[in-house]
Order: sequence, then structure tokens, then C-alpha cells
Amino acid sequence: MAQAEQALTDAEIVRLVVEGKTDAFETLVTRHQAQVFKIVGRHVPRAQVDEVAQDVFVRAFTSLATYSEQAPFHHWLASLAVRTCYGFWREAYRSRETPMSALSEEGQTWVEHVLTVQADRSFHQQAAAQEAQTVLHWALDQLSPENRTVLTLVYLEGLSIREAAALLNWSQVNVKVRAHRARLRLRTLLLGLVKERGSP
Amino acid sequence: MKPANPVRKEKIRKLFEHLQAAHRSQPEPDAGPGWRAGVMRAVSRSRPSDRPAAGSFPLDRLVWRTAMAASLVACLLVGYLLAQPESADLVASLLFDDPAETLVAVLSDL
Repeated sequence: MAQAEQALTDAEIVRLVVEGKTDAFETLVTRHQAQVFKIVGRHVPRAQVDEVAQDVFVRAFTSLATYSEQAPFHHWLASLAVRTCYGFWREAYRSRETPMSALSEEGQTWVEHVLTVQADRSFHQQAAAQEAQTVLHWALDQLSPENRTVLTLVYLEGLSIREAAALLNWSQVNVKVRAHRARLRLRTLLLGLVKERGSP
Repeated sequence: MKPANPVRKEKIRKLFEHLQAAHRSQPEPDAGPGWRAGVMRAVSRSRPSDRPAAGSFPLDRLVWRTAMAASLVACLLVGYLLAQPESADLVASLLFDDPAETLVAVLSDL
């Protein structure tokens, strides 16, 4: 990374890249790769994070001319990262050949354990367990790409409807409706798990 | 579909909270060695799009922005015309005569 570029703002580097100084883009990659990995890591499987994060930066480069300096560059990039993850799931669902798998025995055991533990003492240990991730990914796999993305942003990440709408470049009404549907669908899935465990 | 049973509802809430915590406790991935170089190689193979530069005003946005104003004007015009005492004659004229000719005549009277 050139020493001179380090002192420049994101907007100034964007201008350099748009004017044809492609190498300056590396400074933007260095500055924002942690942010992009964080976003992508929360939306796609670990094995695909590197590839999707690369797609985010390639898309950023090819559409850099559309960046408006009215918003900070990292907001624009975050929106692009979320929409790239959404695109990843749309593509994955379109090319899905095998039917959606049932929840594994380990996942079902985890559900049973969570439901029987009375105190919240082991809450964090339970959450960090590999089985918890298995159940989480199983549940998300049952949702459409739209519902999956909105549920992840609004209910799992805790973003407001307005923030999620801005990231996805969708209307707030659309996000609100999607969030409601996704939550209902998830509740139905969890209800199925609870019933399977023979609860009253 | 709503769980009617409060015990079941409580269990779903508990499960959801655990899944929420599981999502937040996922380890943050890091870029591996050579990842950035890979990005730059991919970038050098691709070309920036020819879309308008930041600050310019694209045509499609202009069309969408004026569409709302045009719709509003059309609604106001229709409302005004229907409020006229001779609106029945006007509607008949629009339906059975040449609509363009009728509209031009009405607008020239405004």
C-alpha cells in the first residue's frame, strides 16, 4: 500500500480508482476487509466466506462509480456485502439438488437439553456449542433466501427495520412483512422441534 | 400458526434466545494469507462498469421521480373534470368521440 494513499480518505481513494488508478483499491480492501469478513461470516457458511468476501470487493470495484459520497464508504460497502450474501443464498437455493435435510440426532439432543435445563447458568456454553450452530443452520436452511436474510438481520443481529431496509435497499414495508413472515416460519419450525420432544 | 400452549410458547422463546446467542457467538473469520492478493488479481481482471459517476443524475431515477408528480397531476385533472356540472357530457364525449380532441378542447377552456 502506498504511503501517500494511507493518508487519504475513502472518498478520495474512490476517486483515484474511478480515474483509473486500480492499485489504490488495495488500500480500501485493507481498510475494510475486517468489516466485510464480519458481515459475510454471519451470513454464509465458513467454507464460503473467503469467496463471498472476494465477490463483495470485486462488485465494489466494478460499481465504484455509483458510490455517492453523501454516505460513508463503509455504509455503502456494508450494504453491498449484505446484498452479495443474499445473492449467494438465492443462487444456492436455485441450484439446490438435494432435498433439505432433517435435523441431526446431535441437534435434536441439544434441543432437548436446552429445554430441560432450568437455570440460565449454562446459557453461553449452550449457545457456543457446535450443536447450537447445527440447529441454527438447519432452521435457516428451511427459510427462503429473502426470509433468511431478513431474519438474520432483524432478529439475530438485532437491527431495526429501517437499518435492515437500508442495507438491503428494500422498502421498510417489504422488510417488515418479510420479518413477520420469517418469524412465523421460524416459530413453526421450533414448534415442530418442541412437539417432537413430546412436550405437553 | 400460534402456539396456544403457554408452556410450549415459553419453550419456543427459550430456544429462539439460544439460537440468537448461537448466532452471535459464531467466531469471526479472518482473511487467509494471500486472500487480498487474490482480490486484487480478480479486480485487475474485471473492469469498472460504465455506469454514471457519482454525483450525476441517471435517467431512470429522473423518470421515477417525475412519475409520481405526473400521476398526481393526472388525478387532480380527473377530479376537476368530474366535479364539473357537464362531466357526464364530457365522459360520454371521451368514450364516444375522439378522446384526444375532447381533452384538447377541455384543456383549452381551463
